[in-house]
Amino acid sequence: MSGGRSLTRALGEPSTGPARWVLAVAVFGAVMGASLSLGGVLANSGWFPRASIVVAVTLFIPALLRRRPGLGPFAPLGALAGWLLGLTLMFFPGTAILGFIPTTRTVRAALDLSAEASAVVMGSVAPAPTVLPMIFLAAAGLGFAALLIDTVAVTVAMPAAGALGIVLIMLPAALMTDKGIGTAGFVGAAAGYLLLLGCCRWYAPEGRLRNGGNAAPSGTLARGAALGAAVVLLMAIVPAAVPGFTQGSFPQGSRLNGSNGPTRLDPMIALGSDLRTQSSRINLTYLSNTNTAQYLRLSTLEDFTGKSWQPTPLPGGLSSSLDALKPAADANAAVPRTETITQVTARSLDSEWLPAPLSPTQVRDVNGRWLWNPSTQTILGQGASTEGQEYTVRSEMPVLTPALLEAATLPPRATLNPVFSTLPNDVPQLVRTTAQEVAGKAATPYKKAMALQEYLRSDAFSYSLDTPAAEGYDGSGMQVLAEFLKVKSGYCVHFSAAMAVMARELGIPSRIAVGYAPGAANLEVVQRDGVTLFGYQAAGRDAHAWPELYFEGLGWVPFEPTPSRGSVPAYAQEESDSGTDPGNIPLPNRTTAPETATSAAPTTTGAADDGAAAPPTGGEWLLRAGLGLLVLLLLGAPALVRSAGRRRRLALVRRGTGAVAGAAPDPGRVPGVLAWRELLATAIDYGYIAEPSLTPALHAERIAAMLGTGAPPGLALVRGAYEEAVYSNAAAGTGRDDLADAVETVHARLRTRATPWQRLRATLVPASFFTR
Amino acid sequence: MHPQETLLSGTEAASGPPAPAVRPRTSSNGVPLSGAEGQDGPEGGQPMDAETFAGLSGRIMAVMNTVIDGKEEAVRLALTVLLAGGHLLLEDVPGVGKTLLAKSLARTVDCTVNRIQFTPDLLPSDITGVSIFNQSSRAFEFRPGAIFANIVIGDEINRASAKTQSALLESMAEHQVSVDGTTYHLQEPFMVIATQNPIEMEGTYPLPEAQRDRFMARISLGYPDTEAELAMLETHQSANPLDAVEAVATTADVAAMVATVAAVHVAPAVRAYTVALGQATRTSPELRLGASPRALLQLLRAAKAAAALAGRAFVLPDDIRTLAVPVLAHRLLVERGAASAGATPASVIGELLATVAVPGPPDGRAVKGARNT
Repeated sequence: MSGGRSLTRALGEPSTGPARWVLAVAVFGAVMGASLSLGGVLANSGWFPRASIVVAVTLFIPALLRRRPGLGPFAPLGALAGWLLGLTLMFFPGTAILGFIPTTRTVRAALDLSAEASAVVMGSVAPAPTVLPMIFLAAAGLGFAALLIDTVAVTVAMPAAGALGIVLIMLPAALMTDKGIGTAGFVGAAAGYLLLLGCCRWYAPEGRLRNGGNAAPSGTLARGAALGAAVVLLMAIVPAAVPGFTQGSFPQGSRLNGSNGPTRLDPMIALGSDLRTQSSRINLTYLSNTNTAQYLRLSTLEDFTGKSWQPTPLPGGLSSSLDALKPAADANAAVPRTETITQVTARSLDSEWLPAPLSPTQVRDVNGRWLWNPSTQTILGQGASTEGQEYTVRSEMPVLTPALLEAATLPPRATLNPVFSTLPNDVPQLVRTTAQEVAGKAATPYKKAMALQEYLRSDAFSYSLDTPAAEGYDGSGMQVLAEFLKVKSGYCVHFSAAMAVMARELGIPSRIAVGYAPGAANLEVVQRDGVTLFGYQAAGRDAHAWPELYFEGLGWVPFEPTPSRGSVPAYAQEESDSGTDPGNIPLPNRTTAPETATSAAPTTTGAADDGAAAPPTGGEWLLRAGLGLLVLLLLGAPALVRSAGRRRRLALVRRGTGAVAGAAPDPGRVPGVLAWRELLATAIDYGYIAEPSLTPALHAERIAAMLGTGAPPGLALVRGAYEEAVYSNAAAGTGRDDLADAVETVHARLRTRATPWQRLRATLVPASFFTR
Repeated sequence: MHPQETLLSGTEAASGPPAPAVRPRTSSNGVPLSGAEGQDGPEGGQPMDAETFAGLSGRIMAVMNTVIDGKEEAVRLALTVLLAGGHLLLEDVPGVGKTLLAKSLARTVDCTVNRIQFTPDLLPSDITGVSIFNQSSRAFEFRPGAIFANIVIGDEINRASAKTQSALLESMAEHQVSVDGTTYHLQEPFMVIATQNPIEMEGTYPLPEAQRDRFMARISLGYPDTEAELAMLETHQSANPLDAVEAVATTADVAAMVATVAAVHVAPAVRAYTVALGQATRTSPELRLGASPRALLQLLRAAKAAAALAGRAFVLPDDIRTLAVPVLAHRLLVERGAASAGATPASVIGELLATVAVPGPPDGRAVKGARNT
């Protein structure tokens, strides 16, 4: 056995015969099987043919190269070439020489197409339309995964680690879609993975296991299955178990809800996605006894202390009964009120937050468990969704007039949650000075608020979905706000945030409400219980965010600082328009005079123009967090499986095989053997290379060298027990605490002697786990 | 698997008074071969307990080490071969103590020892014995040759002619001598310790491969290190240390020790390892001639003896590894190309040991280490 040959073998060269083709087909099967999960990400299966051709070409070239054993190590380069070639052939034949040799034009076209693809990704919620950029993205991604799997499974001969590539393919589905990976995707991926493992076992192992090496298909399969199971399990468990994952910025997180519920996005994200696509899909319709459309609130953002605005965590002890809602005692009982009845039909809206007008007093006919948060006046589902729900909300608002607001000059009550008025320390100076300048000599909170709204609605500011991203200040941090005030261009998130922050700067408690701007009337009129209800509808593009300011004695009052969006409430309209008549109450309610309705109507139709919400940044954030989490999960899976294996082995060592007297214990599971295997595996984790040609004594000698002087006697003990178990005729199955202790001692010793880096590697990437 | 018989069983009186310790038997005689005890156990030998065995073997090695300085490994190997029922070939340049080692082993065990100095004019009958016509009894009478002893030291075996060598080799393999149609059994234990000068020395007849195969192991003593050589000059100055050697074991002791060795357990994994190693020698492109099945059998036997000497009741792959070179190297032939590249049988065995996987538990699951790399 010359060195050259064994090197080639060590590289897992399948060398001859049909093996390389079978392996290529196996990798192809694994990739395409896993790709079934993309069914939920893309609208239809138009991507499949081209993607499969790209994957096939990607795998074909390395298989061709493997004909010559010497070329085996270069298979990944071949796969890369095949990948590029396949993509060129499928997508840019016009720019390429002979239709498949890429040129600089091809590269440019590819870059353009990927930019388009990323625009589509950022601008749509799953399922994304199956347009060319998306097909390109899918084909490129799958081809790359094929390259990865082929390299890992065949070239490096670690088929079990091919799961990495497969998980990569399933990532988009797990992260982005409602339905998660889906049964087809999961079964396809699992089948493909098993096919891969099986074929690698069958065709490639000859060079790996030398004379006397026992084949261990069950081991490989078990390991692979364990890896897969661990990943799935972690994906299911960790998000649910980690505090802050189901609260905080992403109330829905990227939790995989299994079969009982889809993964729902945070309202801000959903809002942004819908806005950017200018979706005209009707998310919900509602009947209301007001003759103007309403702002429907989903959730609120009030915690400005961090890097970005966040909802406050849910307080404990919330009522799940929505029959009688008690808002926090905000409004003075003496103020006249008006009641609004809103009957909401949530159609395609799938949210964990229940859309309702401000200040609801009763919610009826809603299914599932919902929690009422009086502090923010929001309703959060516990495993419940709005999808397909039809419910009625009664809400009660004070009849607000400028005069009333003008009179509300008391400082906020002390019991008001300080989160509504707290600002971070790093509020940029520009924000502070702007607030002060705008407020000027305004004396009352209402005057100040009006000044802010007026300032933001002035001609100096323009509404734009694109400027923030183009100018690089898209996001939700305080610096972004300063930038927004400088450039004076943005969309509802920027406007509402600017107003909310500046209001706090001026001493007015504030929060941002997220939900739907008043949609359009759909001309439906229904008589119910003697009340005339008018029909309205809210589409995706009506998603909106607006500030709510707190006035002592009146409670939370919405404002509309975003130009050309929503409808400015009558009390907040500028004095030149309606402020002259404080007696006139142009608040949308059933008592509203008809002229008010007409004045509000034009503004509602302009809603379509308002656009994007905060979420490009939020979306990215979510994606990044999701990706990071998945990487963590992948990193953690081997560690988890490994430590579970260790515990199981050591427990068996302590307990023994419990063999009945007379019956010979299973020679592979007697304590001596298990203890030795565990010891060896531990040493391997810490960098020991276990040559299969070494005897236990030689292994022990080398491991002792790793342990340094004064190696613990346990090493010899375990070695002796193993030798006796395997090579003598007196293998005993009785439990051996001493062996388990010895293994743990050696482990501890290895751990203390290892560098921090080695320790990390041994824990996260235990080498004994990644075996052939 | 040499047939063994009790000292007196099967004695055939047909050819007059047999020489002492000679157990002739006509070839037509159907006396049953030795009993149910097992192929390796010399009759009369009952396995002894581990402590007695350790004490006895320790004493034998200690005494031998007083005679030969700094050659503990060679001494241990010599005793291993004795207990495994094999023959030993000592190969080295003259004057490093080959004969001394042979003699000291013979002396420590209280048994009959013959020494044959091989020369080109030595005749086969000098070794095996000859039938002489007795005038008085008017019958042929067998005069046993030098081979009739428990331990036979064949000095400079490669100086004798091929014919003479083969006479010795035959009796080594069969543990019996045939003269004039009569078969004479040799006494047990029977061990030949042959010494040989390296083949390229002048005036020698190289041992044919088939004959080398009959030696269980070959040892090269090598020069002693400085310290041992100084000690040797000191002790050998005044008197021959051999004279001071007293036997510490009887033939019965040795028989019992041999029986103990025979009872050593060999696990299937160890047998598999031995076979894998043997097959590796046969398929190695660097070897022209690999290890024969007999070679593997002897390797395993030697390993059993080594395991017993190490105080174990079972053989470890380590025993096989340690003995692979002494037991196999002299039987292997290196390809010319590889030889010119500097490969020797020992170096090739070393390479093979580094590639053959050590089998683990026999459940087919984990090859120890092999799957865990």
